[in-house]
Amino acid sequence: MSRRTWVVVGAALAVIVLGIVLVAVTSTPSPPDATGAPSAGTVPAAASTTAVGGSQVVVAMGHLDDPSNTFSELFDRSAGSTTWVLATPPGVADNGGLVVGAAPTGAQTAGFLPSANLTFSVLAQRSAAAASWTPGIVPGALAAEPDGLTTGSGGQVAAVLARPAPEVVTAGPGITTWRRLTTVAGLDGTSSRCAVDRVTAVAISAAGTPDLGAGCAGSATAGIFAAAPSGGWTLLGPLAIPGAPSATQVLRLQAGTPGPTALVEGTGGPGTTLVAVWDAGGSELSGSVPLAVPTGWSLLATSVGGGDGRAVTVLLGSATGPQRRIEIADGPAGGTGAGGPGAQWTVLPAPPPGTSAVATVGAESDAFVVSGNRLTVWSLAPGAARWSAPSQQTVPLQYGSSS
Amino acid sequence: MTGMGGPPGPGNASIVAEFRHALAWQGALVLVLVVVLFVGWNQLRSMQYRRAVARGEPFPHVTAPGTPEPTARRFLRIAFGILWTFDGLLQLQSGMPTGLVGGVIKPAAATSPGWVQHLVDSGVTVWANHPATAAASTVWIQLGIGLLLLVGPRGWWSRGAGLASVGWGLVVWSVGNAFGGIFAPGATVLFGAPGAVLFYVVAGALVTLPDRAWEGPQLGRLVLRAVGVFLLGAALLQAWPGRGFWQGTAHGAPGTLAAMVAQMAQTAQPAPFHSLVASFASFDRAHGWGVNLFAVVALAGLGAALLVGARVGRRVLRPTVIVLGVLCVADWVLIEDFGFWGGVGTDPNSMLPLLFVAVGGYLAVTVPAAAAATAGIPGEDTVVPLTAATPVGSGVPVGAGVAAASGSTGGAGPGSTRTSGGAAPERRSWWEGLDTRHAGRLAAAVGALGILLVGIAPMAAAAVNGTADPQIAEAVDGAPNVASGPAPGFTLTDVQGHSVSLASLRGSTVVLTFLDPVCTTDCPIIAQELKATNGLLGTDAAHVRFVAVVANPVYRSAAYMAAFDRQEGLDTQANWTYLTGSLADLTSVWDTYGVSVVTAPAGGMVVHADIVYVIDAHGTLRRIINADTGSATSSVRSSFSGLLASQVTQVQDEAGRT
Repeated sequence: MSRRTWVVVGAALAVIVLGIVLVAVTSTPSPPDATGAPSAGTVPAAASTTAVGGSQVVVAMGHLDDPSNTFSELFDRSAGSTTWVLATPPGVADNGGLVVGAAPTGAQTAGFLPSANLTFSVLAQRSAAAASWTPGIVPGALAAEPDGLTTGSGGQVAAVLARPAPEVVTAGPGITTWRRLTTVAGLDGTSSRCAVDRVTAVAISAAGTPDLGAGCAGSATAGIFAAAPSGGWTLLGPLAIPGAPSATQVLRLQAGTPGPTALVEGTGGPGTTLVAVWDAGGSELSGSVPLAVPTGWSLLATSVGGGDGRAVTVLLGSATGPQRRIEIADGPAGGTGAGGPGAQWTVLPAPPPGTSAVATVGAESDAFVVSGNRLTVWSLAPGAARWSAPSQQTVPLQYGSSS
Repeated sequence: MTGMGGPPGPGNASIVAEFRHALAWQGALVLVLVVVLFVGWNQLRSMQYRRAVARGEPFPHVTAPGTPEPTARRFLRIAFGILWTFDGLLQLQSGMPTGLVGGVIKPAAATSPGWVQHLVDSGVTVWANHPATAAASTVWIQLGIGLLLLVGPRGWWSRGAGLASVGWGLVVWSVGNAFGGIFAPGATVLFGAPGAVLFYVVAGALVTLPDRAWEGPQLGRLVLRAVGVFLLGAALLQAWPGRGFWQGTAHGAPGTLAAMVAQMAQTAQPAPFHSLVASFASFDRAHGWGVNLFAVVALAGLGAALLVGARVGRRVLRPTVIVLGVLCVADWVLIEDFGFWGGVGTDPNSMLPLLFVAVGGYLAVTVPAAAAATAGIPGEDTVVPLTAATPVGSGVPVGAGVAAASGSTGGAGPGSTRTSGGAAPERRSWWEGLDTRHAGRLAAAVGALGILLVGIAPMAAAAVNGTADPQIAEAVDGAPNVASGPAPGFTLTDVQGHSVSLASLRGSTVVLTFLDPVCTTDCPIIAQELKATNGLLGTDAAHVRFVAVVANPVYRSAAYMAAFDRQEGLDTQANWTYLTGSLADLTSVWDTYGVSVVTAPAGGMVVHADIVYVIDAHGTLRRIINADTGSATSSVRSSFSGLLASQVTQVQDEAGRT
């Protein structure tokens, strides 16, 4: 072979090698190959609600780094009781998460979020103080929102769905027939102050009419809507979230008198802020002072109710350490009139390490610490300087049952 | 779920038995081929001997020696022939069928980009679906390539062996080795990058080259320069900061190289080698910076020396190659840990092949091949044509058949004519002039090719068969149980509220199972397996009914069954029926069929056994099949569907005979 041929062959090999090296250097590794099973939905943050009929909290337990061995457990505390009782409905795995909507009467509707190969949601209902649950089903998959499911005093149910399409549906007592209440598109355009990009919460007022919480893109307005008498929806307020956020989201929404209580998050701008919002009546809203979430911290759990009945409690946690902080914004005194703009957040004494959920019951606060299948509940009495009187219970988690 | 099992692990007895069975019958084919070839070769020798005696000619016939094979080429051919043969023997390990994918191939691709993983998955699917066949085929393919390289006669046989080495090597490098991990972080030549088999490909390409390519030192210089550039690049990569090689420990954890070596030390191997490698891992942890400095300097120095030596010659090359050899062996022992321990080792890793390629280049430069003695056929055995002056019985070669077999065009063709002293031409048979030694090599090469084909044929068949072997399902769940006796009857309600009894399904083969409509794991998988079985049955599916009974005491109404059917795409399958009833009726059916259904507390899924019953058209229970999904890989699911389809077909045949 001639010298020229060798030069050509060598150059060709060099180009091939250089190409491989360039691809190798610029390629990025992929994460480990996932299984074929559909991924579980995002488990909503721990949430607690206190109403006249009692209190409830949903807490994630088990091996929290393994979705198939993380279980969402419902605990109830009856009015007048000091004990939290395991109340998770049976019959379906809840690794994907659990949302519970309680009526002021104490009736509950629990919704199971999709998990692994189960792509639709089922429900379980029970009346106040009933021991057993009645199964039900929604026409799709529930959204992973703590207040995405609600029960009215008359037994009607409303739910925020993520699939087959983002929409809100409602059913009468017995949940046999569902009808669409609205869609994201239907809610968007209701007000120029809020470009609705998702529905995040639903509540049923004492009058039996629905209220909706939404995310507002490109706006600092709290997206709380009420059903208009003539049909359609009306933006309550409007209430601007301080701090010039570029978007807002209603994280919690609970029916109350004279109107709903909400927790609204503002993002963008200088950071993340939380504002407790109350309906002062006549579609007017009032908000607390903004609570800035420190950089590197996140919202771990929420509680609505307690205090004067309209308190909003948040549990913040550091992403890099065990630090926890609980702040509570009490509602309008006596539940009447406006709390007024600028209601203050009160920092509670530092909660026990590992606190993952919080509940405000009356003037008392309870902190929940989870370790595998063991739940420890600490209590903070009104005016106390430290948490005390821990109670423990072991939950019979079914490890491996969903693997 | 009760009874949940894992995937067939390495050494699964059922799969290993199937692997050995495949090896046995393929080995029998190889044995028959070898015997036929040996008998044929001996027969040829006998015939040649008798004819030579009758003619008074010398025996055996030997052609004049042609141009000797270039030393470098011979070295590469033999070295890589031995390597391929060794690798083929490594494939005999019992862990290969079920351990290679999970233990070698997938980890190798785990940190590579998505397109690499996708390519690997496409190839892995064949192995995962047909583990015994693929593993056995690989034994014969690699043995065949190795033997063909070793024994193939000069010319197209030998070059074809090189081409086979290139082809199979590229398949292994891309699909089985994720391109040697070059697209993944942490690639280092010390640990095997860019993949040992790539050097097999290079060597195969060199062997494929025509003999004239080996004339002169140019080819050798190209090889040495390529190896030199490769080593320089490896040095640069090794020196690159931020890759963890400069640290013996980082944040309390072993550095990159120390971690790799420590991991190799954990491989099951004889204690002395474990100690040796573990000691080096400890040494690297303590002196990581120094070790890496040495590696960088050594790689760069050797690379530069090869580049210079390619032009200068033996004076520089010889010591360079010697040092390269020492360092390659040291790396092979201390870092690569020989490469083949652990039960699923596929080859001795990259240092030996790299060294062999470098030595080949060295030999090509320092011992260049002579030019061909015969114009147009350089390097081939030469045939001396008979002429009128050629005396009979002089022992002068008459290898006309040799020329034909080796593909050259020199010499007389088959049935050549020989003249003697001016007498009339005498016709000779083609086999009379065959060089005996060459014929032996030819027979061996045919045998090696046969071995190669014994491996390629079943591998190709497996590649086009999308249904996994039923042995995989049997490895997870055991073989189907043969049953007899009437299937217990029941009457339940379908999704539309119609009453359906088992007796009403007489005339069809019934596949009966128990599914939880709100199950998050096994039941949707089993539903898809049944759906796939329906597809595999083809036209026979018209005589089959797939019946599921609700296995959840709480969520058991038609609404949940309908939602499940929609979720699984079974609402449009005509021969699918999902049944429910009152809790009492369901409990009765569960008890009758031995299916326990237990509600679990605290967010647990309802627990029930995964089982399938096959009932023939006369209502006789024929099969009880454990339907545990195991790891639920696509291979396990495909295998179960195939197994169930075959069982349904058998039941249909059995029922037809009764």
